[in-house]
Amino acid sequence: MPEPSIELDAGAVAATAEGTVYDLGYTPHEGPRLGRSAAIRAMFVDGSRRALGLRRKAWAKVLPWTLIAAAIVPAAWVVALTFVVAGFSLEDAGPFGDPAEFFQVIGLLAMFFVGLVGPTLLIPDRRHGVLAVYASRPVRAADYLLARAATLVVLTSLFILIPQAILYVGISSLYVEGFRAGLVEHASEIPEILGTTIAYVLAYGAPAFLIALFAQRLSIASGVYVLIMFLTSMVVEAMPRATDLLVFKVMAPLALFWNPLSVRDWLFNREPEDWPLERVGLEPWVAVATIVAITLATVVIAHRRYRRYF
Amino acid sequence: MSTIEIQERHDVVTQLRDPAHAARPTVEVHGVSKWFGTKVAVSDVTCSFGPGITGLLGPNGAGKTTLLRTITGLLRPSEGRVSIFGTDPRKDPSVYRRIGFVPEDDAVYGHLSARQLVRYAAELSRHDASPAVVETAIARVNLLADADRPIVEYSKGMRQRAKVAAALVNEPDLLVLDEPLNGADPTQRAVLIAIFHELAAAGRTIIVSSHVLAEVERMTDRVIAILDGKLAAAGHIRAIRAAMTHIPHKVRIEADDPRILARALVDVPAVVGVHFQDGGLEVETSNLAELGKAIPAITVEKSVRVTRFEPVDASLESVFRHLLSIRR
Repeated sequence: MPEPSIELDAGAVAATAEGTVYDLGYTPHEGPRLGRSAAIRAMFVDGSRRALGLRRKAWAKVLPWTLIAAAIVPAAWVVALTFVVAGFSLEDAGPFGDPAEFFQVIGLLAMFFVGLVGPTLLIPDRRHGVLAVYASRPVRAADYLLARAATLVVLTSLFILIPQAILYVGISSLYVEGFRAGLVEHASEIPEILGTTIAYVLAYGAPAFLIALFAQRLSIASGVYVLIMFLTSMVVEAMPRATDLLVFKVMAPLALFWNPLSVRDWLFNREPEDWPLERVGLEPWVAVATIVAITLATVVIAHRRYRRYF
Repeated sequence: MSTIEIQERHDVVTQLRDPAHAARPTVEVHGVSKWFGTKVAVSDVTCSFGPGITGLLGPNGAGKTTLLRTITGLLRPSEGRVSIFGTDPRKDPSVYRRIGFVPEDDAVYGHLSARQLVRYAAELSRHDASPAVVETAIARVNLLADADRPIVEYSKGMRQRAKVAAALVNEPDLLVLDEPLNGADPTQRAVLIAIFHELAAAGRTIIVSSHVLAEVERMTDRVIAILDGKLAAAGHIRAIRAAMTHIPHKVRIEADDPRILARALVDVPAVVGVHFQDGGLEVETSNLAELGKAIPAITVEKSVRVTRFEPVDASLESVFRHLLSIRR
């Protein structure tokens, strides 16, 4: 039987013979709504601020900004010298005079930066129960991890590329045919610089992310990461040179610290140095394959681990 | 009509009669169990929630939070399934656009201000994150004056309100609140309860978990009680009390001559005990309706004037105490 019609009182939005619902001024939102990319972007911005200690107390800024300063200030100093000191040549600048050489300097700093940022992006959310903030909203585990990984990749890339850009300007300024001609001349190295940067970001970032997936404390995660990077390199360093033993061929790619340098020499078409891979007679593509394999494994493990929270 | 159709119709009719089920369910919990190792936190719970406020009750460790986290998809049920607006939230996360959740623990970033937290919540919910929308959510919980201070400097009650604002910013159709009034002072509680009533009146589904029974009683009279992870009772508070026929009801009766009334009452079969208390009588009866019928006859026969007849154990607290005594 249909409900008998009821004449609504002023302010009533619905009424039956037994009850009335009054309009208390609740006005639903009719405006535009954001998409999935906005949620990912918000998490990216949040992660970047956290990694750099922005909007945090001073102590949270000390480590990341010390490393950033250590990466940028020497490069800026060399560039300043090129303008100030008459007769300053590239040979005087040591590794700062060559983008490929500079990767050896910036790579070490980047490893410490990644060891700091990777755990900072993942561990506090798990440890302090903040994942519920994400899991109770239309955010998938993949969105969360994508945003966190993007933060790590972008910040580390900038960490490497900003000093490189400063040096690029500095080197170009020394070009005998003028600054503009120098910029054009050295632009040919940009693809190699970008490629090597990607190799560094993935080779160093993936293990840091992997450790942060499981560690419970930031300091432990950072310590274990640096230890693994150095220990694997030291073990391989101790290998006999020019060996054919299979065990060394298997171990050589696991010298995680050195893999990006093999990629650098390959991309810059340099004479290979005495890196672990070259020592056991393996081609540089093995370094690329190792970096890709570790990155893919990290992606799969991260997704499997975080599905339980979302 | 096939056997399956008959069975389905029977199930629907049974559900409609079952007070554990809402008439127009928006959240349905079907045989949900959740265990952690050997610890069973929730055991085969079936119930549903509809528009309006439903209180989820239970002592500490009863499984309320686990059930809420399962409902909101934060935990995967070990058995059974949950559907929200007809969708499994773990399979279709877009349903979270219609959900607001206030977890019990302090799941907030202390370095953010309430304004930043609410904006972040709006962005994550893919809602409009414009300043006006954020401002409205903060204003609803009376937090505008402190909206730009870091949450780490807030009192517990203020943090709760910030979390509620973050849950409200996407104008959810379903609001799940785990101990939302923890730490709030009486004025703040009144504000929050008024908000929940307002949302309920607007047709929103609100599930409130609390172990403070007086709070739940101020918000709703429909409750679902969980004890040891199992569904212990469901429905309206008085109906649950009425269903506890094995526990005598207590009634406070005041009369101009309590002694004569007491003597007459002990002859009523439904009366199992009579105690003098504060100048009146506290009568225990196995059948409240039968006692109610007997009183007028006694007053006429014995010329006694009854000035008060009030069940004293139909409050939520009494009902809950009885539920706990059943468990023991």
